Amino acid sequence: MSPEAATTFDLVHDQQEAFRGLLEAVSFPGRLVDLSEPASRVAPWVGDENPALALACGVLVDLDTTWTAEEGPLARFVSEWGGVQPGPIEEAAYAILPRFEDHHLAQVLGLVRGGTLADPHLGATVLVGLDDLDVGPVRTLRGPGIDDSIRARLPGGAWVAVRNTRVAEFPLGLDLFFFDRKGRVLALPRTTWMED
Amino acid sequence: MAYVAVKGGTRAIEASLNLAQRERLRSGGHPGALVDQVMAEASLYAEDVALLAVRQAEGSPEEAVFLLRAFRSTVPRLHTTRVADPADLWVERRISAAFKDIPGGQLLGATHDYSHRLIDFGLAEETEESMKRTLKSINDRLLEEIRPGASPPTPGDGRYPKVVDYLRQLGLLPSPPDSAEVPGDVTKKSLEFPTKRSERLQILARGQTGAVTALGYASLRGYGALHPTVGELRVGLLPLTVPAPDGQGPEDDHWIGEIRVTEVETLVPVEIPRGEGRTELEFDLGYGLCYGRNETKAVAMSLLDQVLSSGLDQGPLSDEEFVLLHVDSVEATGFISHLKLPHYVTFQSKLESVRKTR
Repeated sequence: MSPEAATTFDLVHDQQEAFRGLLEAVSFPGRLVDLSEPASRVAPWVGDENPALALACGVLVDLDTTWTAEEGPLARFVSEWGGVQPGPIEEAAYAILPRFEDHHLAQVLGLVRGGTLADPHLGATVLVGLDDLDVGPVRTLRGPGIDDSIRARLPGGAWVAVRNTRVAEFPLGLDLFFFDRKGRVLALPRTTWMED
Repeated sequence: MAYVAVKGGTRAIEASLNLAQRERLRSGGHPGALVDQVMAEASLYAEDVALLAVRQAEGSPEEAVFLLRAFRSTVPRLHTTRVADPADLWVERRISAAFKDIPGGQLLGATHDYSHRLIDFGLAEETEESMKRTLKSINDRLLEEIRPGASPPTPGDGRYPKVVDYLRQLGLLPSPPDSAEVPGDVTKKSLEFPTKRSERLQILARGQTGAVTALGYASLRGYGALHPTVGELRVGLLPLTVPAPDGQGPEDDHWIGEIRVTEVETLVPVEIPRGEGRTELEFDLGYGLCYGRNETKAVAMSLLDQVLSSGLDQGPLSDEEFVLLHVDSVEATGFISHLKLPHYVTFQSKLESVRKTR
């Protein structure tokens, strides 16, 4: 992490701005929310990794958070930032995938926790990095926060079936965030119905 | 029934009222008691942010607590402090209703307990300049009290021996068993019944001041311990430390500041059966602690803690679900407020049912 970056990133205001961006994304599923400005100030810390994804990890992971990610620069960044090491995927509140890969994401969605009827909020949040949210098959999304329906481009296909199965019994389920290289985020909470 | 008949030494009371006035002027007239209440009910000790929440909410405590709780949920947890022992409190105020002469003496501190509750219409004319003048005059008067050769107002470093420790030394109060149990965290895990004492104390400490006070009052009026006695009430600053990353022990800890708290230990006489119809009278302890100055809430909390921990059936207040699920400000005000939301469909359905019965 460069000293220069440390002086430009505002630990309070940039984190708050990013948190509000994530909140907007999850309030309006399918909407692309721009995090590029605070993400650009995290970029010098994470090398080639997706800066918006790294920013979100920095905002969401802290000392009391359980998370999982494959070994790599982003996992090291999150460990250093949050001060806590990754754990097993079955216990993780956040599962972080630096690069989108259809079958790997499907596998992760099958393993992460989905909450219990007494504690549905314990369902995991999966954070996925990808290249461009303007590329990929068009999906139609419906549900709370969407006026009738909205169309979003999301790659792959295998993960969609697994995700739809895991969110079939609301309030149980998991929430997804996708971050692209342009610093944009799209949320897919468990309340959103997505056509396969 | 409204009590204002609190008695004490005239000079001590005068100094206490001066201190209360000084606190108000030093804060520039900010609503300090309200900020304390909001911080306690939001479970976040952040005076500046709580003041902003109070201003944004136009002084509505429920709205300010909601704002501060929402902010709290976005703040990262970076460190965990060492367990803070209230015996280390830098005492600003300390009284006992159980003993007149307690080791270290009673210290009235800044309080409105001894005021006449008459509105000071002079405040309407108060200006920044007049506030500064009054503050200087009070400071001068207080400094006159500290004459050369006079005994210091607080012994040593501001720490006082605890009244309950004195009772324990005399064998009149049982010592609690040592416990290595890690306290639960009600802000991270949903409450499950039966609760642990640590969870009950957290819920009560962040309970709505009015709700905790009302239930504490009910416990006095026959739904709990009949007449407990405040063994000791303290207001003061509690120092907090975090372990140093490469430290060898507590002596290497980093001091990160202090929080103002109100702590109350209440003594409740209870009858213990000793067999063959014999009973012995013992004291049970009720504990209350909350952020800032909020003495009524801390006393009420100690009463509810004792009732809930006693295991005795003393009516609705012994039912922990009844008490703990209804004292939370955000939950209670949120559920009540949801009645303002459109219920058009459910109401039409009820209307239809009513029509059918006619």
